[in-house]
Amino acid sequence: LNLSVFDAVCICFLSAFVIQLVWWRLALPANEAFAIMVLYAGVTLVLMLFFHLSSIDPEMKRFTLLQYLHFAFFYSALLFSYLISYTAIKAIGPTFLVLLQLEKNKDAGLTRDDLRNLLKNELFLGDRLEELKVGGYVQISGTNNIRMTAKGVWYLRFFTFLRTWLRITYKGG
Amino acid sequence: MAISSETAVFLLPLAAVMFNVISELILLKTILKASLLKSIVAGFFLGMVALLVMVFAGFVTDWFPGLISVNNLFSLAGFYFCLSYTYFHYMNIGQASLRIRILHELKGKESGLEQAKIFQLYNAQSMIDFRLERLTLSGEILKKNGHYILGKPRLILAAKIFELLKRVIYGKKQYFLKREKYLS
Repeated sequence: LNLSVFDAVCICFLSAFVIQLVWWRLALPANEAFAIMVLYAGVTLVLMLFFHLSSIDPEMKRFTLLQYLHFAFFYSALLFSYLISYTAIKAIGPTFLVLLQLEKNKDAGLTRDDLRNLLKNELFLGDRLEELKVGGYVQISGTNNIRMTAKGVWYLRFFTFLRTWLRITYKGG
Repeated sequence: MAISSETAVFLLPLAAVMFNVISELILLKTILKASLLKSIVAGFFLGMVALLVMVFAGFVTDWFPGLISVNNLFSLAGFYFCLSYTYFHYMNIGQASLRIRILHELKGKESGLEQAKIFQLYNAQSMIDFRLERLTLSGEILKKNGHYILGKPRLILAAKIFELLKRVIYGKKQYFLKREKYLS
């Protein structure tokens, strides 16, 4: 058995994905993104340790340091890609909702008011606020006062660093 | 000057992504001013071309012996795609993310904001207006006699893929519960 880095990445990711499917059907974790990170990192550590120990057999090829580095970069990039997509899978985004509704109405289409009525503040922004709270990026007091935490400040800085440097001022959303 | 295929399969996608990012930033600041999405797409394809050129040059000159195999080609393409996808979302998150927008509104407000105030600054109506403007500009939707209809089929395809993934990950029951919550 001579595993390539690509094979190892695929095996680790798919194994973790299958475990995630079973877990999610049994019970949804409170912080899904964090659970994914822990699960995928844990499964990978166990499998990589297994591959490493298995290759004590002289017939098997052991990864070199460079290949381990390649694995770490490739797997992290794949996990980040999955986590980013997961946020769109977890909560339906307004863009996709608009498109799916327009598709349902085919040629008749929808007016701006019809589309505005589709979205409710409490549902879309309320869901995101709850996620920010669970992730520790904001604190919500009993009187519904919302404050950004130090973690939230760093989160915002990290994701807007390049945009700030490029002087893109559009707040987005 | 031969480089092992193990080294090449790791370093070539990294070099291609650097080319992608640099060309994207140059395009954004010069030819495609203000069009973030177009510059990202162009950067992705330029990086892909750079990767193909490097692999082809390596094949012709035998710089990377043993690089051309099905497994290595999947690895090169997969690694490049994952890195580019992450970069695309890193740039796009400030453009489309509701969470980032909420944090933007809270920035600098030491005593915080009431939920009602946030909804006043940024709400479902402005969310729809932003999106209608963006989607109309990109041709994803068209406006006819005051009614919006679907235009180009690119994003609706992505929306359907995400719907399918949602169903796979959450299972039928939870998927319909979530769908019901957003569409009722």
